[in-house]
Amino acid sequence: MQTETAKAEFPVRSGEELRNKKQKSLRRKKIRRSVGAYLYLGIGSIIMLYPLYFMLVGALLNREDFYQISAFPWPSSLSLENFGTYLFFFSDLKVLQSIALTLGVIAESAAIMILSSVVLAYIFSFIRFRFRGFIFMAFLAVTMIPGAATVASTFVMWARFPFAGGNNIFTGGSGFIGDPMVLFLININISPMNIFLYRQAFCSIGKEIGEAAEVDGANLFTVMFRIYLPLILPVLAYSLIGLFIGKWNDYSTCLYLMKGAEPEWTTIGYYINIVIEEATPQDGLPNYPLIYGVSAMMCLVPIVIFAFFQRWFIDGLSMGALKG
Amino acid sequence: MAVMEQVPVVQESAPRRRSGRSLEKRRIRFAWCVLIPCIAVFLIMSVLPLGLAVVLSFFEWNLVQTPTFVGFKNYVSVFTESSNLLMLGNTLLFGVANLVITFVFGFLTAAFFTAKIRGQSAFRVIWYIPSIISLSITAQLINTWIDGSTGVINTIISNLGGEKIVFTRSTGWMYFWILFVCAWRGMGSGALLFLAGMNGISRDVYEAADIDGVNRRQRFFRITIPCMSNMLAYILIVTVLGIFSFFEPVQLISNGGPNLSTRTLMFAIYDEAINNMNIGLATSMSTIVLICGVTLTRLNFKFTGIDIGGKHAD
Repeated sequence: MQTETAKAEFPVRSGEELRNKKQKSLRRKKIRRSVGAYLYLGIGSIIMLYPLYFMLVGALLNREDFYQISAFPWPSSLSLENFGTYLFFFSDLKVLQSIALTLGVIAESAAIMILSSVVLAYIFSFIRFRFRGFIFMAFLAVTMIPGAATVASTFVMWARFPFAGGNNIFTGGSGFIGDPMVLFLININISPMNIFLYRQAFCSIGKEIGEAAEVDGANLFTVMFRIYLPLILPVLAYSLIGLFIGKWNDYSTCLYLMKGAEPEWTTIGYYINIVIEEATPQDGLPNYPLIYGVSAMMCLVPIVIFAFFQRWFIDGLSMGALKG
Repeated sequence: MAVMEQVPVVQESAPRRRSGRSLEKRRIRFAWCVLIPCIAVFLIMSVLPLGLAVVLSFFEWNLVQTPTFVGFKNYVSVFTESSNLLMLGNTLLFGVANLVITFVFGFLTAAFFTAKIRGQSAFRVIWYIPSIISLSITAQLINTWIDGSTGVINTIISNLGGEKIVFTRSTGWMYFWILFVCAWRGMGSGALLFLAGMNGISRDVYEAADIDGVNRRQRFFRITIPCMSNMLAYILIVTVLGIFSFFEPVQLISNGGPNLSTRTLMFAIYDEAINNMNIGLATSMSTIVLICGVTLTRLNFKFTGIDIGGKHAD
């Protein structure tokens, strides 16, 4: 700049023009790029939301509308009756029973998860003992093995659980298979992934606060739950939301372990599929509005929760994923 | 200030150290008191099924009669029977397709996610929504679209005067719809992982490259990819591990059909164990998953550098 202004007038102007041109082309490039981003993300968003739109609107149609359906359906006539398909999800007694069971399972596993993960994360972060690294590594390694490796043998384990469900020591009855109890029993375990998450958060806080409190006479549980836990609330929220959404959507656990059970004694993620199957007769038009209504409500619950906590969730997501 | 702070510390140092040592001992005792029951529960709930799978894979058992030892017969049938070979091939095919989709679209989407435009965070949330929606509900929705006689797509086609497509009897269409569900579901969450990797790269590197006049292709291949290699390895391994859990769309959309042509490993395990009560065959497939899983997990630890006791130790 300095040297250019020191030169004669003419070359300065041309330099400025050049710079203007460069800026203009740069700006144009930037605009082009952001238009591209809008286009890609916009079209993608439509695709991402399309199934949701289809469910929400499909539930409002009359059954006969499905003989004339288009790719972008819209109700021709709307009355309060059409909204009944949404309400089915919140009024049908069997659905409500299934939701209650699901919430019970979630509450139980959340309590176990928080209690065990906070205590173990504290132990693995701040207490030095022998085999610490080895035990932690073993926990993590075993949980990383895909669930497919244990589906069959877990089924065998619960089906042949000694002295349960008509079993003698090994055979005889059906064990815990089909018994809602099994949905609670399988949650009695530690969750190494959450221990890992909490531990990273604890380590970033440091052990000094806890030590100071301990010197002042606080016991270990006070230190864990009154001092450290409030400091990692975002991580806690992240793991709780993940747990809730996972359990709410869980389909396969009931498929494996609740064979032959009363349908309403299964969790909602599975029970809704039974509702949908019941609404689909062997011949003739399925009750599409009902199918779409329950599907939409089923999807809206996690979406609403996600929308409320999405900042924490996405923060936690990148916190849980390792730094690149 | 510094001197003022130091004085009491020096005075207290002797008694404090003694109490610190007994405190440390108490803490270690506490740790073991908690750990031993936790390890016991973990052994029963997570490790026992793995061991049981390996043991049962050498037996033939239908859950009722006494198991008979058959040696490697189950493994031989997994690797020689044509329906099982097709199943392994399908698993590989779905896996590779899923991997390609995740990497190509994940990268592309993550690149657009970094663009500084208005409403970016809304876009990210919208793209993430499919992965929090129940997979089984998505599959059921696809079922209402592709139903042979009353499905939405066939209704539209026949209203337009075209010929109905029998989706459920065509292996190709089944592949397509299963992959469609997976791609739709995994795109946003995959992109967010790539985005986390990209955000981990320091701005300075790009600024330095700009000064050196690096073009966009060089920027991508020489800076972005090498700098996020750990993240890429992590995503790669997680995606590959995900292949083994590839189940719900297969069960709900094609149910392994037509003619067992779209079975995957996970579906075959479920089908053999729970529907056919062929525990030996199912657990031998499980053991194959276990072996692959252990190998990949070791790789994962190596690449992502989860270094217990080293980097993160207090």
